[in-house]
Parts: sequence; C-alpha cells; structure tokens
Amino acid sequence: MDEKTLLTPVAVTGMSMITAQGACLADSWAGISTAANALRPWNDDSDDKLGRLQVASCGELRCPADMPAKLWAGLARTQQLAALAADEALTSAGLPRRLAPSSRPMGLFLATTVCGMDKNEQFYRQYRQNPQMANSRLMRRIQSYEVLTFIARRHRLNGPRILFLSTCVGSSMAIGAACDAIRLGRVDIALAGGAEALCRLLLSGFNSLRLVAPNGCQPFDAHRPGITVGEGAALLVLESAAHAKARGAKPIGYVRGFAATCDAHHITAPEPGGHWAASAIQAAVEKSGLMPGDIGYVNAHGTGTRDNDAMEAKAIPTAFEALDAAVPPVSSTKRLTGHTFAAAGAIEAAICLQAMATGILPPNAGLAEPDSACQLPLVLQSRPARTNAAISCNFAFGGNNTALVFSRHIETGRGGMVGKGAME
Amino acid sequence: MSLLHIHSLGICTSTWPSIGQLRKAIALGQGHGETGSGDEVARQKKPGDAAMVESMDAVSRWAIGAITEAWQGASLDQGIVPTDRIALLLYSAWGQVDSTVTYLESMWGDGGRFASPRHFTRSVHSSPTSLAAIHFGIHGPCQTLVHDAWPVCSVLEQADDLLNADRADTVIVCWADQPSAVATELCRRAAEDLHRAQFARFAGGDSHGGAVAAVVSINAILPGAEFGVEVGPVAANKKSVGAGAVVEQGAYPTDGALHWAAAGVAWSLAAAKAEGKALPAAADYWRESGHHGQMREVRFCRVAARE
Repeated sequence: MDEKTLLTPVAVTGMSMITAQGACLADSWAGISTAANALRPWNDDSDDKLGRLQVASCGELRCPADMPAKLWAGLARTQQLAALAADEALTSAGLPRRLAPSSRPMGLFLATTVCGMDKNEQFYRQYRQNPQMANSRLMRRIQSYEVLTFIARRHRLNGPRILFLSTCVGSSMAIGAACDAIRLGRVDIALAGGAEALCRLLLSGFNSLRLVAPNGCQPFDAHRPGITVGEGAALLVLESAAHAKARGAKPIGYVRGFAATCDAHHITAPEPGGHWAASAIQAAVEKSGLMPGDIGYVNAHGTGTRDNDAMEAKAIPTAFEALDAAVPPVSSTKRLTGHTFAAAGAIEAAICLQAMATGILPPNAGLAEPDSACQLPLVLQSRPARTNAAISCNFAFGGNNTALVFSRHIETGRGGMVGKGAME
Repeated sequence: MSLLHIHSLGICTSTWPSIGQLRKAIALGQGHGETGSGDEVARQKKPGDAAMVESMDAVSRWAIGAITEAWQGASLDQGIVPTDRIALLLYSAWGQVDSTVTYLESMWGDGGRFASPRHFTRSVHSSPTSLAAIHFGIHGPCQTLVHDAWPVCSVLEQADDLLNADRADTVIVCWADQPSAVATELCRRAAEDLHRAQFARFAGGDSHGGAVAAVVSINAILPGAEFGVEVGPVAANKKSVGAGAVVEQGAYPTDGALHWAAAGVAWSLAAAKAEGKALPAAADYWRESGHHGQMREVRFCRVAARE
C-alpha cells in the first residue's frame, strides 16, 4: 500500500456508547463530562466480600422492541450490550438496523474478553453441585465467537468479520483492523468496537491479584489503590470518506492513525520504562499524517494500578519528546466508566470523538493527591477546549500496546492535502 | 488478497510432533502418529525455564513448539527481521481452557477465598499469544483472534492486511487448541444446540489437540519460501469458484481437534513436499467450510525461493 493510502483518513459516521453512566451515547457523555459518580456495590447474589466492591455496572439492560423477550433472556450479557450498541451506532449513522440483503458488504470487527462467561459461570456452578441437573442451554454461549455471529446475523452484516480476544486493547485493535480493511479496499464500511460484561470471574480474578480498588479507582493518584471493574460497549461505524460522501453521511470525525506494539516482557505487568508503549503512541501519530502539535487531548489508559500508571506517565512524555511536541492535556476516564477491558478502547475512542465534537475535555476523576512521579498535564476538572485531534492509548495483559489517533476534520494535518485528496 | 509467501511451517500436535515427522509419516503411508507424542516433544524442544514450560497449559506449549519450528525454519532466529517488524496472530477457539476451569473451581470453592491469581491470568484467552510473544521477543502487533466460520482464511486475511498496511514485514500465524475433558463434556451436553458439523466434531470423543504455525510475508523478505497461498472469495451453496482439483478435507491426522483446518493446510503442504509433488499454480486448493454451505478456497502455488 502506498503512503497516500496508508494516510487516508477513515470517516466515523456513527457511534454508540453504553457505560455505567448511561445506556446511550448522550447519557454516557453527560455523566462523563460532568464527572458524575456511577459506581455502586456489585451486590452479587452470593454473600461474600466481592459483593461490597464498587463496580461500574450498566444495570438492567432493556430488551430492544424488535427482539423477543425469550431470545433476549437467553443471550449472554456481552451479547446484549453489543446488540444495544450496534442498534445505536447504526441508527446514528443513518443506516437501517437490519441491512437489506442487497446492501454492499459491511464488515464486523469486534472485541470481547469474557463473552458468555456470565452464563458459563451459572452452568459451572450448577455442574459442580449436580452434573445431571445442570442446564445445558446455558452452555450455548461458551464460545467467544457467539457475540460475533449474533451481531452479524441480527444486523445482516455480510462482510468480513473477526473477533479480537486481546483483552484491554481488543477493541482498539478491532478499530485499527477495520480501518486497514477499509483503506485496503477489502470493505467500504464496517462496524467496529467492543463489548464486555461484568462477571464474577473478572471481579474475582482481579481481586485475587489484589488489584481492585474497594471504593473506586484513582488514576495517577499518589495513593491509587487499583482498578474499578466495569462493563460497557461502544461501536463505531467506519467507512471510506468517499463512501460516506456518496451516501450523504456526515462524519463525526476521522480515524487518522493506529499502531500496536508488544512489550514481550511479562504476562500481566507492563515493561516499566514504557519503551514499547511510547513507540506505539509515536508510530500512531507519525502514521496519522497530523502534526504532533495538532493533538489537543490524550485519553490515557490510566487504570489506577501502580504499575500501569507509572509506566504510562513515562511513555506519553517519551513519545511526545520524540515527536518534538509538548504533551497535550491528559485524562483517564476509568473512574467514570470503570475498566471495561475489551470495550475500553472503543469507549475511549468515542470519548475522544465526543471531546472534539463538543469542545469539552473530560476530567481525570478520582484524583485526590497527584503522584509526583506521574508528571502529566492532567485535566483536573472538565473544561472547554477546542480540540482538533486526540489520541486514545490502551495497554493490556501480555504487554500489548495500542494508540489510535482521531481528528475532528478531514482537513486537519499537513496542509490538509492528504485528507482532501482522499475525499476525491 | 495478496499472494502470501509461506517461508516455513511448524506443527506440534498430540499425534505429530514436527513437520519432519509428518513428512516421514506421509512417505511411509502412516495415517496416524502416537497420541501424546506432541506434548512430550513440546516439553523437550522448548528451550528456557523448565518450570515455566511445565506451568503452561498444553495449548501454549504446543503453540510455542510449533512456532519454534516455524521460527527456526524461516531463520528468524538469525535476526534477519527486526523484532518490532514481526507480528503474531494466534487463533485459538478455547484458549487455556484448563486454567479457566481451574480458576472457576477455585473461585467457587471455599467462598472464593483461595481464588488462584495464577490461573486467572492464564485463563485470559490471549495468554498463549502473550507467552509466545514473551518467549520469542516479538515486539510487533500480537493479536488473538477467533472467527465463527473460517479459521484458516480469516487469519490469513488478517495477516495479509497487517503486511499490506505496513504494520509488519513478516507475520507468524498460529492455530492452537488443546484437548479438554471439560470442554468436550460440556459441548457434548450442549450438542443439541450446536451446528451439525460441530456436533460431529465434539461427539467423536477423541481428545486431541495441537498447534500449527507458519511464517508468511508478501515480499519474500526471508529465504526459503517455496509455497504461496491465497484465500479465495466466499462461494455459496458449496459451489467451487476455482477450476482445479480439490484437496479434500479429511485425509490428514488431526483427530477432531479444533485446529483441524490449519493442520489440513500443513498436511497438504507437507504432503506435496514429501512426495516431491509440484503444486501447479492455482490448481490445487484446499477448501474451508463456513456456515450455510458457504465455502472458501485456500489456493497453493509454488513460488521462487530466495537464496
């Protein structure tokens, strides 16, 4: 692929967000931009210490009007979240919820970590008590790809589809892969993002690692106690600028750059120096066609763990130093949404796009005493700022690092020629 | 999709521990290897910390065993390609299912007081990818993928995208799954809800597993490429869109494990080499079945090897 094609902006013409702050983009953004507290005790049906931990739960999910209640009840929670997010994303892009059979192929690039684990947990609990009485129907969701199949069939998406199981960078990878497929001409339009449901395995697992903050995470705080486990979903409708123009869709923003690297250091801990994370951020900006100075906001991964935040506080300045630019305002929104794992990349991509569209930078909520070792220009309170480009950074188990660069306008960049050329 | 150059192959299954063994068996007309041999070899041939090897689930041992063979076959151990220009794509339907089950057991037992953090981290589906990336020092994109229809085609297409989008110079593709009594039992119980093809796979009762790996590129950056591979478009109603002879599924010894499709490709290529058969360009191809009678073709051809 030639350089011009590599730099072609991909239009975002629809998006959705379901978080603990709200069941749609507008409600989620209202809560995030005003730093509303959406955390609550998990209140699992079992009476143990996990039930008292603060989580970012989306609460009861409402069955769509066009879906039988029985079918809805049989879905894994991740599938429910993905279905609601797909409905909102397609509607906001001006597309029907069910594509006509004659429609051009639409790709589906999804990410999850646990998929049907909520159902699997129920089954396994029954199975341990009495194997003969365990409800086999709960096992229908055991395969992760069930979420992919379900969304593709529900919306009649007959283009290429793939599921990324790369934990916290999963949906960033899905968005990056969708953009590559569009730039390479494999598909004109795609739905990309991730969905993740709260389940006991996630909460218990991170608790066993002693990484859960009992009363909410505090990213970049000197006394940060760990993560807040959350759930949610976000999907972007991505298409070539020419395809968007041809169908009269108005882009919300553009995906300009993406990069992924791997620390190859440890199965859970990041490489402390942040070398490969910085490398991903730097490469994403370089591949965006933007000037580093165009970047006006960084949505940090900022999980609230000691290791991640310390590493990220090194990686972001290292990347911008190499790009010869000042570090833009930074915030982690994990306190507001919880850590939604495979959905985090897509939710934070939507936050970046909303920050640019509304001119409001979301705050780094939960910060009481900034860590002197984390020298970042943190956004302490929600504030207005005209932002033409933003970066979302995500880091995951196994040392996977991703960075996605967005711009509000296609003209943003080196003289605007790359973007304008791509429109024609 | 571009023509992908296959520089090397690696295999480590419960029946075939290496491509070399597979080729010998083909030459001798053997249909099956010895059950369990793959895991023993995976334990032996993986260098490094022995305790680390033992602590891995079989799927990771096998993945690393297969990648080791492919890695060495493509001379990646000689540093020809910078490690940040190597990508890893690992397809696993089940991931480290033993660790997942062990974690669930520890989570439900004794009120969760002894939930095992080690098994939790390994229950994560991307753990085999992470362990392989750490082992080989791969700093390019490392992705864990699953697809609901075409395990081989989808991974090869994703590799093609990574190469064409200049995200890597070479991609290691790996398909790995392990046998699991729990997974087999649970799937058998749910068989009435499964697709007939899946039922046939799970109902067989044989519990085998393994991994297949290949090093691919689009510009023959590495020496040793002899075969090329292309993925064809989706064809409906079991209709072929190609014109040549079909290498039918089923003639390879994968014993119902979920890596069957990838092993089939490896078998086809290994058979071609063992028999000294020249793969005619775009004539022999292997097909992968999807949902509702949809088919995709994986076409092989000979390519000029770089010295």
